[in-house]
Amino acid sequence: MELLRTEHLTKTYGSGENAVHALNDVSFSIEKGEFVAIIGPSGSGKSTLLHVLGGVDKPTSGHVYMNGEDVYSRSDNALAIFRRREVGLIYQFYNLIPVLSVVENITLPVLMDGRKVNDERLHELLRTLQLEGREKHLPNQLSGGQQQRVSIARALMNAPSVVLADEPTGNLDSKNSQEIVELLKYSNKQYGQTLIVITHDESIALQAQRVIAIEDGRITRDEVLRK
Amino acid sequence: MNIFRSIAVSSMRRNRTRSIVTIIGVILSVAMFTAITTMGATLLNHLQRVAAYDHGTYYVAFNALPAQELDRMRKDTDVEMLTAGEILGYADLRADAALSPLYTYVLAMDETFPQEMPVHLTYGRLPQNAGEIILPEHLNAHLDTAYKVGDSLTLALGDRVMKDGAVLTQSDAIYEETLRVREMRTYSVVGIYERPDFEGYDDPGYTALTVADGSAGSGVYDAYARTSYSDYDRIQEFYERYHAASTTVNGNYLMTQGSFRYENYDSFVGMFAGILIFLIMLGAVSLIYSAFSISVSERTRQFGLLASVGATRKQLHRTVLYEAGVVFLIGAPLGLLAGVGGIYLTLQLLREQFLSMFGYGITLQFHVSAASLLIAAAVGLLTVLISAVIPARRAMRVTAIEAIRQSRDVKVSKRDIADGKLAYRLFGLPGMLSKKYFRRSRKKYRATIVSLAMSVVLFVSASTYAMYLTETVEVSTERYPFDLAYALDEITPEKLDELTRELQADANIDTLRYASFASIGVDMHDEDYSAGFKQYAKHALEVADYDPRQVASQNATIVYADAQTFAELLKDAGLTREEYDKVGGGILKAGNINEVYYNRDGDRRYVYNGSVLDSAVRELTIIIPETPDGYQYTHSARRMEADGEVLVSYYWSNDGGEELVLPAVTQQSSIAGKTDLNPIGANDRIVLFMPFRDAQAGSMVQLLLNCKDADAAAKSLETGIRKLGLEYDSSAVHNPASQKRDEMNALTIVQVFSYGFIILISLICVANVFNTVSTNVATRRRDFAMLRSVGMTRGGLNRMMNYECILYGLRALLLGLPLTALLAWLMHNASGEIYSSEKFVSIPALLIAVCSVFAVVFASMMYAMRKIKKDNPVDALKAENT
Repeated sequence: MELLRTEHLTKTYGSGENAVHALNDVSFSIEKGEFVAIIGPSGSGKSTLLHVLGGVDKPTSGHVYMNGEDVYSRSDNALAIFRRREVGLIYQFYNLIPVLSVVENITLPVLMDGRKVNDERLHELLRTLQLEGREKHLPNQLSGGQQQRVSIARALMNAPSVVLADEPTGNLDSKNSQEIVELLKYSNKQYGQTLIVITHDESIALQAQRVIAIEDGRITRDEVLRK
Repeated sequence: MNIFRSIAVSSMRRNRTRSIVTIIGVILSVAMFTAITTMGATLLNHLQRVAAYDHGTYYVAFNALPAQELDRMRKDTDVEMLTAGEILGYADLRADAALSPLYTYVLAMDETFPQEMPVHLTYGRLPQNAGEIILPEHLNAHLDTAYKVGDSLTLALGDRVMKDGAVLTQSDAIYEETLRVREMRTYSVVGIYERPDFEGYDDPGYTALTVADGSAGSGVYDAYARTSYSDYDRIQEFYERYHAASTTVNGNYLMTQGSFRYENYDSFVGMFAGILIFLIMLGAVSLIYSAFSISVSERTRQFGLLASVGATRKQLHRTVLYEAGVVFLIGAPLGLLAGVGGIYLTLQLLREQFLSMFGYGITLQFHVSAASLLIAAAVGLLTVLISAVIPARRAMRVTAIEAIRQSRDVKVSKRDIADGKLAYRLFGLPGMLSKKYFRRSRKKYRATIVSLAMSVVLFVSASTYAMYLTETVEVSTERYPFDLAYALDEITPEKLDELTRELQADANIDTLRYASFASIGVDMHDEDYSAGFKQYAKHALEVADYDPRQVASQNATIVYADAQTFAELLKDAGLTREEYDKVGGGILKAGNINEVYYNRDGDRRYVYNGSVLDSAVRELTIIIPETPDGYQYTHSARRMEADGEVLVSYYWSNDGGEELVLPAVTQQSSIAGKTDLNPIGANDRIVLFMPFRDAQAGSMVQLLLNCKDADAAAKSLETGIRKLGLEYDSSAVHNPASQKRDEMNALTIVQVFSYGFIILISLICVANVFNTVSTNVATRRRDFAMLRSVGMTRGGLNRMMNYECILYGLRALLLGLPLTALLAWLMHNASGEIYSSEKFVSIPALLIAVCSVFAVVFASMMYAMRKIKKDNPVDALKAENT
């Protein structure tokens, strides 16, 4: 079943001679439950693509459909609600709120939605991500790997349609990196979580089901490794 | 330019808004320091000029100084100014052996005398040759016929000599002495001048002034010298070098010259200015300090980088100092200009008010001194340095690597995070987040909140104080039935007639009344009291062991009213003149006692609003005291003798505080009629009106005028009185309208200065709030982007910031309002002694303050969020990632 589809996505910065095409007529589609890796050199437009998919960066032209609905036809508010319900974002630098504890950071999208926290899911995530005993800690009391696990938990907490990860291991050592990848894969398998990961790391890309390569804003390769 | 300087300049450029706000802060604080020092200089200068006007510019007066001593003094290098009048001698203007002499004391002035000494003409001009003379006002007041300009005056001038041949001077009182006439001189009177300050109150001769003609006089001088120093001990040393009959130090003038043994205005003005400067410094330091500490903490990373490539601490320190220097150099000159200009304009705008406040011949004149500007600039520099050095020191303590990682800035301890459960329940997630952020940055905000609170306290207290003052002014000037009153001392009936005739001819004056007052007692018997008063007295006795009936006699006033006024009163009482003449006595005006009282338990309230006298009373035993010479009435008391007879005694005291007790002289006075009119404004419980002719001879007469223009009437009164050769005493004038105007003017001055001060302090505070809020928002740019990217709506973001604003505002008010209440309570209590105000605190000011606090916080927040809102969250996230 198709979860996400893009049609002729273009993102241009600047205009005229200075125009930079971060995305240039990008179209693809992603099935529900797929684990996709996006690779490409720096400046190729990977991050831009991810942000456009996540509803934080409006494309210059083209459409993103999630569950058949045009994401950018929504109002500003609806877009915010879309982000909190349908998308889980993971960043290289974790981007946790420094004044909130581990649990508060994880439950932030739920609280923002004004819903009750599902304690069962929270504890399951804490257990899975080995964050038990750290519930009350503040981000600056955690190691980099732990912080990234918190941000993964935050991304998964709402059981979003898609988790988008931008170089999730870029700031971590190889041991921590592998752990994070295992966790992502686990969520993909366990919950059928659709996963799009941007990475430089060939070894991580090879663990995905499908690899999309981008260069100069265009898809140069789209290869299904395994089903 | 050295690299560190260019770093400082470029970082100031990058944070343009903050740099500008900081410079504005420096401008404001230097302007306020300058305003204070300039005002201080202006006031001191004014006091000096007033003192010079009233008392002369000399430090020491030498009475009866021989010529050779004067010559010696002229050569003394310590002398800065020396003026002298040759003593031409005394002349007795009364020349009646049976009476004590009435001396005039003639001085021949040298050229500088009229400039340096307080010689102020009321009529005519200064003498120009030895044949011309000016006379003091108070001499004329003691003469039966006053001298006028143009009169000729022949004086038998000579020395006052004792039996043993000793010559007496101005410092010797009149003894058994004779006047040894030396010469006869004829003068023409060219002017009348105000009683001179250099003549003592008990000096035997009234000083008349002529000019020296070079011919030989007595060879003895009254000399007035100013030394080049104002130190009291040195002045003492100076005057002890010379032998004069007596020496006097002009303390009133010396006091304004900066050094005097016990008190001087310098230190008073200095202390007052010091307190103000301290307050402003507090506000300014907190603003400039926070601006610098923000700039420094933002740059710790930059400092770390510089340190890691080998910059020494000293170099980094200097970078911050350089920034401070730039800020100061831009801000200080503008501040000095603004301060001086502000005070100049204020003085110009308030010229009218100041004129009425300092109603001398001297007006307040704008005055700037180099010292006042230097002090202001120095205090400003100190403020900037304190504010810059402390954050710089802190930044230097951070090690290079710590600085690069900025671990210190990111540090958030558990303690700093509120749990925010209540806020969550009340305001949802935005509420909780704002609460947590508020707690986290509460140290940064402490200065802001304290300064906001201080502004609230200052503003509301000052407004409350102004409100109290306004009420007092209004209450105290509302109850007079006349527009102008003047107390005439020692006037003969003939002169009074002449004066009233003249004043009645004045079209400006509608009615003229005059009256003499006598404070008397009324011997009360039980049946004389009204029933209501008796009941009140019983209660008073029960509650406070105080029996109003037992207090000697009841105080009362006899008003000896002029014929016309008395006729009006007779008419009101329904009497004809003939009917009154048959009965005699007085017309009673029984004042209402309006007392509210409670019973012993305090649960029942009574009001007694009525007279002390029973309405059936037809005759009063009044006790008219014969005033012993030189004594003043204080009180009376009565004592019951063993045989039941009541003795009333009167207590008198003189200026020396000696007390005299005299038995009462009682007499019966019938009540001829009753009236409710009170044309004279007498306010006793019992007032008896009698005709003016019954008044004791020589008692003080009150002139009461109803007129269109009180100030013009005062002028014609002055002219009329001077014309009669009487001394016009401006302190004997009671002009409720001008008094009210003067008080209002004084109030306006107080208000302009206090509000000006408070508004400026508040501006500094606003700048501070603005800086803190906008920096706080700027440092959270990434957090905002983060929240947006996980799905916080713009509305949610706005709500969060609004809650934060409310928190800051509430915090400031939570601190400020109790302090305000405390201050207001203290003021209320302090003023309660004088009058009672219904209102406790100025409500409009309170509302303005509360609204302003929120307005300032919200406006700052909106300005700061303006940029953030436009942010694309992605850009913000990316920007911080590098």
